[in-house]
Amino acid sequence: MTNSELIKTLSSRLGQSQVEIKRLLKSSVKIMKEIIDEDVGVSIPGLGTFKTFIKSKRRSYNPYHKKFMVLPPKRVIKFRSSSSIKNELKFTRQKNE
Amino acid sequence: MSKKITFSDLVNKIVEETGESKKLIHDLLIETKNITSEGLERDGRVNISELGHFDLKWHKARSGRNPQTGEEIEIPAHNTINFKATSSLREYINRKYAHLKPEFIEEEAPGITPVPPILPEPEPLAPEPVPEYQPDPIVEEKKSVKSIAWLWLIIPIIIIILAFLFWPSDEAPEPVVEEPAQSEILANDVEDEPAEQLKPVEEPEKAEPEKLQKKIEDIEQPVTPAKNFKPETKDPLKPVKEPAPTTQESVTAEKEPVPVKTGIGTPGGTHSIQPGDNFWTIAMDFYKQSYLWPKTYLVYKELGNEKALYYLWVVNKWEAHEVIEKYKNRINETDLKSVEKIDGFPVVK
Repeated sequence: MTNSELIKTLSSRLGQSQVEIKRLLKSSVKIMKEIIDEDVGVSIPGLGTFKTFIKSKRRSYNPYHKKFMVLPPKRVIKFRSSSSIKNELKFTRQKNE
Repeated sequence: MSKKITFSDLVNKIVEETGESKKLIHDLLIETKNITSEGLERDGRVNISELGHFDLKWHKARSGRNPQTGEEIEIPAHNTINFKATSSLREYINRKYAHLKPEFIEEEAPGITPVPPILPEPEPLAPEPVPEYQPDPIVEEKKSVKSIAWLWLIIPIIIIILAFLFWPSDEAPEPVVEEPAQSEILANDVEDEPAEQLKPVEEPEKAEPEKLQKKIEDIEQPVTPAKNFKPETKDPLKPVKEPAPTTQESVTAEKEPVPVKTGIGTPGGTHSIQPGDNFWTIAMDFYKQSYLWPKTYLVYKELGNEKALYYLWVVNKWEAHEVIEKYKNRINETDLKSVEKIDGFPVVK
């Protein structure tokens, strides 16, 4: 499902124009970005929580140069899905579909 | 890390940003959740711009184990939901670490890997020399093998280059130098010499390659029509002055002092060498078949004119030397009768 399809269905269900909902989604995503950047978890009920953690620096092997190398520390976003949506979709979709 | 913002605080912050009612934004976030679950069920992927995309991933059934009790459990096949943030969001979060980049480590890498296999065995015997001796011979052997490999590549290339440079210098100048006598051959009997040349020709036929035999087959057919021209050439030469007056005596009397005709296209004409001429072009002019170029070569060779041979010498020398000896049989003795010499250049009539 693309972003435009999401905006169409939201506008049909909430009774707002697509331009309005595009603006609202953009601003809400912007605020979520800022909250995630402050090391604070964000949760949307029924969907899950977003939060960040820091991967410390680590050693890894580069097979192309055949050398070991040190990767710098890095921040990663982790999403943990809520149990309700997890149980909904657990057995719905088969692999070959 | 431990901090967490509540859903109502999030809604309040968005309301401050947008200026819309609380209920609308609460519904918007809840509806997005509902639509993502529907979209995941339908397509397996949901995109939200500037945030990321949700994916469903299918895991096969496998057998696991409870870490506390140790019981074996069969885990059925199931889906999991994964989220991946967009690259812009990842860059935005990692802007503090943007100046850091991965760095290569040179010496630690080989030291760490070989140690664990080596240690258990050599400790009782001799732990110290093992790390010292093994790396040194390995490096030396590789270098020696590489140096030998370069030599094996370079030596044949040099041999090939030298072979191309010095190969053709031996056999080339033979045919031109052999016959210096110019006027003597003409003064002597021209008929006798080709008869002598015919005999040794039969021997080299066996050694010659197959390509030449194909050329012979091509030439065997055109030789017969070429004979049709020869009687024309012979007859006018000696009798040119005689049979012409049969039609009109007055006209032929004027033509008699001018026996030379333009050679192009006419079998009985003469030809003076000009820049751009070959044995092929001359053969094309007189015999109307360029494959008969050995004839022209022999004609000039009988005259012994080195200049003509030098100017007309275009074909590869070895090939010519071999081919011409073969075609001596195919040239009639009568062809050589029609050769004369005028002003130092040979003329074919």
